[in-house]
This record gives sequence, structure tokens and C-alpha cells, in this order.
Amino acid sequence: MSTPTVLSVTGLSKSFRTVKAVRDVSFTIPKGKTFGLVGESGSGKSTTARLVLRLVEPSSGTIRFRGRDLAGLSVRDLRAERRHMQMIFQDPFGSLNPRMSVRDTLVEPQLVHGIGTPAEQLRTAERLLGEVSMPRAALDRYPHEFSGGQRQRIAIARALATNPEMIVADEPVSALDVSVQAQVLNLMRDLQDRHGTTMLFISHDLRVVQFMCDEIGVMYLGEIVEQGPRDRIYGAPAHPYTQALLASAPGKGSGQRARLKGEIPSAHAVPSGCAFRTRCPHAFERCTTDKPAMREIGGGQKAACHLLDGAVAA
Amino acid sequence: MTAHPTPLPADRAAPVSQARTVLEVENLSLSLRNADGLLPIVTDVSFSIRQGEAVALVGESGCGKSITASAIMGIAPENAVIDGTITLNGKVISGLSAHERRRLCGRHMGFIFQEPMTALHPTLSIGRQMTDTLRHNLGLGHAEATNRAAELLDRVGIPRARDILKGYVHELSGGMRQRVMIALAISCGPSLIIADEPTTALDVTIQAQVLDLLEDMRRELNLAMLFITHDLEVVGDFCEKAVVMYAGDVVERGRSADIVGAPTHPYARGLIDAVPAHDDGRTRLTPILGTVPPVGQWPEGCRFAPRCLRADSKCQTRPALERHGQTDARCWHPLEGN
Amino acid sequence: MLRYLGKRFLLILPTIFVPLILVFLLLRLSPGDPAGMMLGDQATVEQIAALRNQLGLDQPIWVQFLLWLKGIVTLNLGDSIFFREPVMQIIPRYAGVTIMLTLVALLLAVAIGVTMGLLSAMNRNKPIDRGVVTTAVLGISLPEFWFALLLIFIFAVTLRWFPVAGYNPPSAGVVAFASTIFLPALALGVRQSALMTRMMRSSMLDVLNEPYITTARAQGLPESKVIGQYAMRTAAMPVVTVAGLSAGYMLGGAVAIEIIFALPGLGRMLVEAVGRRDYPLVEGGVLTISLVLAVLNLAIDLIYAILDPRIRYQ
Repeated sequence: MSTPTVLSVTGLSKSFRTVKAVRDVSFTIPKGKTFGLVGESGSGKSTTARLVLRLVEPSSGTIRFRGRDLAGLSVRDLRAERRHMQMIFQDPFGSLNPRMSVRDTLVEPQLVHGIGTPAEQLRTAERLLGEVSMPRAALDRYPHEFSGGQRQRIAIARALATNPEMIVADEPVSALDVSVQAQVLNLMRDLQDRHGTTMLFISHDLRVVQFMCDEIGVMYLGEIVEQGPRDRIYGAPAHPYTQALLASAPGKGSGQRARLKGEIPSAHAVPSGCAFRTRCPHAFERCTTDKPAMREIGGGQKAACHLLDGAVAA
Repeated sequence: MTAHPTPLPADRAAPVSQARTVLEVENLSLSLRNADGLLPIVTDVSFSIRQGEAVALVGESGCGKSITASAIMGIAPENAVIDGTITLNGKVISGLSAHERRRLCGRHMGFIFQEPMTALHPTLSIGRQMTDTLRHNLGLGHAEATNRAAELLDRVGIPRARDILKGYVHELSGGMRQRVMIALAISCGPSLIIADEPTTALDVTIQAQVLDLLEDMRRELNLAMLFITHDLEVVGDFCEKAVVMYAGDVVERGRSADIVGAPTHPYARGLIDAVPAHDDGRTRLTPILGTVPPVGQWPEGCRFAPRCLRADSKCQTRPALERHGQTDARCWHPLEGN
Repeated sequence: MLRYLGKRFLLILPTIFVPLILVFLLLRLSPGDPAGMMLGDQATVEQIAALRNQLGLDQPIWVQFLLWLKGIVTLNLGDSIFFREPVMQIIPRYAGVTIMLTLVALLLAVAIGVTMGLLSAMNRNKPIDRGVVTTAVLGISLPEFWFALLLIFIFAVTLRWFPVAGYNPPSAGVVAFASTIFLPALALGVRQSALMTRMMRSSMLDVLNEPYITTARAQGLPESKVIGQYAMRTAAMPVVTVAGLSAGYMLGGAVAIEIIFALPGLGRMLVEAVGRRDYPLVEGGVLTISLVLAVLNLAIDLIYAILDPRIRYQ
């Protein structure tokens, strides 16, 4: 029995004039699961998040959400579809309107999509606050009266207000202290379990992604270089970049650090062939001339690297 | 590798335990004077750093770690009132005015900031910023200072040093800028480096490069390092000792391996449990309940008590910092090992 | 850098042309006939017609426009209707005075503004700061001509430190020149200096909080250098902008000051020429002022590029 696919992205690309921000990205997310996009600056993960929601128009590629092609939708239909996809942003200070009380913030999405009577909307707002463990008294307060962690809870409550099928979370805990981060991550897991929400989770923090996500895509300079179930990616990373990312993370002890040399190339001038070759410790001639294709390694894991030639599992 | 431009301190090969103490902080307290009186920000902080040693000042936002460092350097806010003793290279500097303490910076203390984009002057050339400090602190002439600056950039791994000297901050990537900050900090041969979250704003792979560089510099120049961070895993990797702060207090102090591996203070334990670890397969993290009390609203007695699962009536009096097992902890009910 | 300046230079052309075309049209379309005014009430219709023919005023407007354009390009602005002299000879006699006045006023304004603003920022909330801020508010509220009269009354009439009116060019000696330019320049510049004080103060307060100032101090650099070079360099930028705007304002405001102090300047000449419908002279005057302003703004742009290297590469 297979779970239905909520989001299916194929060949997604976006260029801003000379900058190729996202190049040929493809992945699917089944219902109720969390897909993580990991990468450093310039990887294109945030742009991908915005493309999926059609906050930014793709240059090419298809996005199928709940079985429908988003690109083909009229403005009105797209707006109706937005009810089912919500976003949580990184900055808890910027993502809430300082002039709107918490009540207004939680009622507004319902108003926009015409959900419920005013009385029902208010009840939903109260219920949402309870779900994110905030007191009912918060309804009348304003964002500046809350801490970063509390604001992020409000942002999560807002995202749930329309009972969406999918939530896109762009670095939702990066701006929070460690202890608060843990609270918010737990909350997100609880809510996901309770509502069966599908999630696209974007982060640069490998530890957080490992905790939150079922399947992971590793991005470098606009493309996914490796993809697969969490345990396989973290346990047996196949792509040299993934290996380097995991080895660079602190907590491994000084001896084990295998250092990547050099800087991340600019997105204006993506290296020919394999984009990672300028920093890859194993690069050889073919890497300059041929772009590696995504290869299945087994167990749902795939990576794009010439080194994997001949190492494909049955 | 080119010849060392800075004079080497005594015996590099001497084990750390025999090395001399570079920085000694005893019972440091800092309060801010405002219209209502004195607002305590940091209370009774003590630690020491030896030559070649890295000590971490760990804590979350608002614990007072950054302002402690600024007090040492003489760049605390104007209305700060500082008590306690700070000794640098055997000389008591807490008695000096902030202005006089600041004059020791550059030559005796170097500083590395978190955000290199905003920490370097945006419209003065890199070379100008480096030669200014070299000329002021070491009395070098312009040509000599320029050569020394180029050597320093080269040493921190910046290619085409001469070109970069003529360039500006906005032309460099985050990792490069941080390398420039490091070069600037070590340029006049200080014995102490204070690094305030130097890698927090960097990408993971670049972070690793920069930490490696800091470690190389530390060993080569036998520097004493005060490393301010909120990331316990970096502490475990990089620093020999750690001082954990919470709401202006030192709550635990000792070797970082002990603190990260088997903390005795419940807050330190909580910090470690709150981080998603790589291989423990937990489905839920163990957060610390509640939030940090803001400055001015600290509870009487143990400041962590309202959030502590082990707290009881005894915790209404402030515990002293005492030895418990391998570390010093400020707690009436410390955890016993792991 | 050269490309940047080149682009800026090209912008001078529209800056000059737009006011010029406007003036051309306004003059031609407004009531009043220069020929009639020049010959007086006793003139016959034939005499007026003859003069009009002589001056080319009976041609259709678009012919006049083309002739006028030709004149601009060949730098022949025609003869003043009133003075019967080439405009190109008349203007320089007056332009020098106005330019001098504006420059000295600008210098005074910048000197006072920067000094007071700096003093204020360095001693925030102390008595001297409050004193400066209050004085600045008064200065902004001050009409220049009233202040000019006040200055004359105190310093020229009562204390006899300065002459009441008249103008000595720089060629007459520094002291003589200064004695006639100081009061007018002060009157013209006082309001702008108050604006610059406020701008300098707020700019400096912002800059002093920037991390790079902390870094400079952490390098052990002396405070005089930290403020005088590191802070001033960035804090000065908005002040430079205000200086550019002030220059334009002062060029316009010079008229009143020139009249009060009896300075033979362009402003005064222009006002009289407009009254007489002396078209060529008015156009020449406007052209000169536009040119001066454009050159001044070019100088400001140059200063920007020197102070901030990021601008050079745009």
C-alpha cells in the first residue's frame, strides 16, 4: 500500500538573469512525511522553498501539488490552493505583523480563505494557541511582547490555521537558542503526528534535519547532489559533498575532520561538468567535462557522482 | 611557511599545565548604572586561561558572556560598574580605567567578532585597517606595515594577499572575511585572543576551515584563547576548559570533556540533552522547560531553580560554586556523573 | 571610477536642459511685451513692431526655439534686450559673486554643522548635546532674510565690525573680501548648518554603534583616530547628501541675501531681468545657475565615490 504523494517536483529550475539559483531539482514528498533540504549558502534551498509555493515563478519544471500542476492554475485557483500550503519563516521577529494582535494574526488566514463564521474563527484561534502551548491571554497581545521562541509558536499556529496539507518551514529554528529550539522542534513533531501534515523542511543545521526529516536532499550550488532516506544519508553518505558536510560538523572530535578546501563558487559562474569538482578531494578529468547523472545506489538513495560508476547496487 | 613575523613566546613545547597563566579573572561582577540604581548583569565570575589553552565561555543569549569579555577588554558600556580582579600577564588591569584597558588591546589582547561583514570597516581598504593597527601598536613605518600585513594574510590562508590588501570587505566571502579578522587580531602579537562566536555566522564547511585555522594559530603562537559560544559541540572539539554561564552566573566550570560528557549542573545537562545528537535515535528532544529570566528579574537564590526539575526549598538560597566530582558547579543537587 | 564619473557627467545635460526649456516656454507664454516695455508708453505701434522684428520676437514660437537652440550650441546666447550687450559678457560679471557667496555659505554651513553635530553625538544627552539640539531647531526655523537683517543690525550698525553693504571681490585682498562676504554667507548658511548639525548628530550616533567601531577600539587604536577617521568616514555620507541639497537651496535663496546686502550677484540680476522680460538674459541666468548646480552635484558624486568605494563600481 503506497501513501499518496502530496508534492511532486520535477526538473525545477530558476535563474535570475545570470545567476542559476536552482537547477533541475526533482523530489517527491508522500503524505505525512517530512522532506529535508540541506545546504550551505548559495545552495538554492530557500529559493526552492519559494518556488514550491509559487511565491517565485519558476523558469522551468513542474510542481504537482495534491495531484494538480501548480503552473497551470489560474490566479484564482492558485489562491484557493494556497490554503493547503503554508509557510513558516526563519525570522520570528520579521514574520509577524507588529501591528496585528495575535488574535488578528490567527484569524486572518481563515478570513482570507473564507473559513468559518467569525465565532468559529475565534474558537479555532483559541484552539491553535492551545496546540502550541500558549496561554489564551496571548490573543490580545502583540508580537513585541513575546520572546523569539514564543513568536515562532505563534507563527506555527498561524500556519496551521487553515489546516493545510503541507507546511514549508524555512530555517524555522535557526534564530533560536538551543533550549528553545528543542521546545519548538518537539512541538513541530507533535503537531505533525497529530494532523498528518506533510512537511518540506529547509535548514543548514545537519543535526536538526536529522531529527526532523524522513528523507533528505543535499543541495549544492542549486542542485540536489544526493538524496535518500535519513538513515542512509547519515549512515552511508555516497556523495563527497555529503561526506564532507557530515565530517565538518562539530562534535566529531578534532582528529576526524576532513577539510574541504576553498570557497563555495559563485552562482554566477557555476563550474563546468560537476559543480562540486573545484572542492572535491576525489575530482578527476571526467568531472570537468561530464556532468554526473543521478544514480540509484539502493534503498531509495541516489547521488550524482562519477565515482559511483560501476558501484550501483542491484 | 615564511618566517614568523611575530616574536615567539618562551617554550612552545612546554605542556599546558606548566604554562604560565595569561588571564586571570576573579570574582568579576558587572552592573549597569541606570536611573533606578545598579542593575546586575554578571555576578561573581572567575576563571583563568593559561598560555596555549582555549577556554570556552558557554551560554545562551542573555547569560552575560559577551559583556564579560567586553569588560576584560575595556569596551563595556559607559555606565558599566565593574568589580573584581582581572589580571593579564601578571599585571592587574581591573584597576585601570576602561580607557586604559582598551589601550592594551591590539598589542596584548586580540578580538575576533561574530559577523565579519559588519565588524570590518566597509569603506576603508583591508590594507588600511591592518596597517593602522600595526603602525599604532608596533610603531612600524608604512612600507614595513604593508609587508607585515601581506605576510599575515598569507599565513591565514588568503591567496593573492597583496591584491586583497587593496580591496574592501564587501568583495570577500564570509570565510575570507573571518580570516582577515583573525589576521588582524594576531597582527601585533597579543598573548590573549578573545573570539566572540567567530564561526556562528559561517557555513558548516567554512566553519570547519576557520576553526582549524584558529587551532593552528593557537598552537603556533602559543596563544591563550577565550572562546565565546553557545554551541557545546564546538566547545568539546576545540576548548580544553569550559565555563558555563546562566543568567549572569557561572553555573559549571571544568574541563570541557567532563562538562560535555558528564555534566553535574542540571542546566548544563539540559543544554546537552536539548541538542539533536547524531546517533541516539530519539523521537523527542528533552528541552529545558520555561525561558531564561530577563536581567533585573532574577529570582532570589539559585537562578535556574524555576526551570529545574530537581529544585526544592533549599534552592531559594544561592548556592556557592563548589567542587562536585570532576567539575565545579553551583548547585545544591548536582547530578552524579552520567 | 572613470565610467562612474562619465555616467554622472552625462546626467548634467538633462539637468540643464529641462529647466531651460521650461523657462523658454514660460517667458514666451506669459503676458507682457519686452519691446513695448523697453520703449515706454510714448512708443508708437510701428516703433514697437520694428523693435520686435529686430529682436526676432515676431517669429513663430517653434522658429524662435530652433534659433535659440542654435544659439546654445554655438554658445551665442544673444544680446540682452535691456543692456544691448551680449549675454555672455554680462553674466560673468554677476555670476562670480553668487558662486563665491554660495561656496562660502556652504563651507560655513558644513564647518558649523559637522563640528556641532560631532560635539553633540559625542556628548549624548549631556547639557551640551541638549544645547546644540535646541539651537539647531531654532536655526531651522529661522528665515534667512530676517536673520540677515539681524546680523546687519548687530554686527554692522551697532558694533561696526563689518560694512553694511557692498562687495569686495577676492582680488581686493583677503580681509576686504572676507569683510563683505562673511555676514551674507552666514545669513545664507545658518539654516543649512542647523540641518547638517542634526544630520551629523544622528548619523554619528548610528555609526558609533556599529561593530566596526568596536573592532577599531579593540585594535587599540586611539579614540581620536576611531572617531576622526573610522567613524567620520561613514557618518559623513548623509551629510554630503544634505550638502548637495543645501547648495541648490542656497543658490536659490541667494537672491534675498544679495538684495539685502547689495551684492551684485546673479540672483538680483535675474529678478530684475524677469521683471523687464529680458528673455535672453533670463535664459542665460537660468542656464548659468543650472550649470553651477550640475557641476556642484558632480563634485558631490565625486566625493561619494572617494568616501565609499562600493559606489564606484555601480
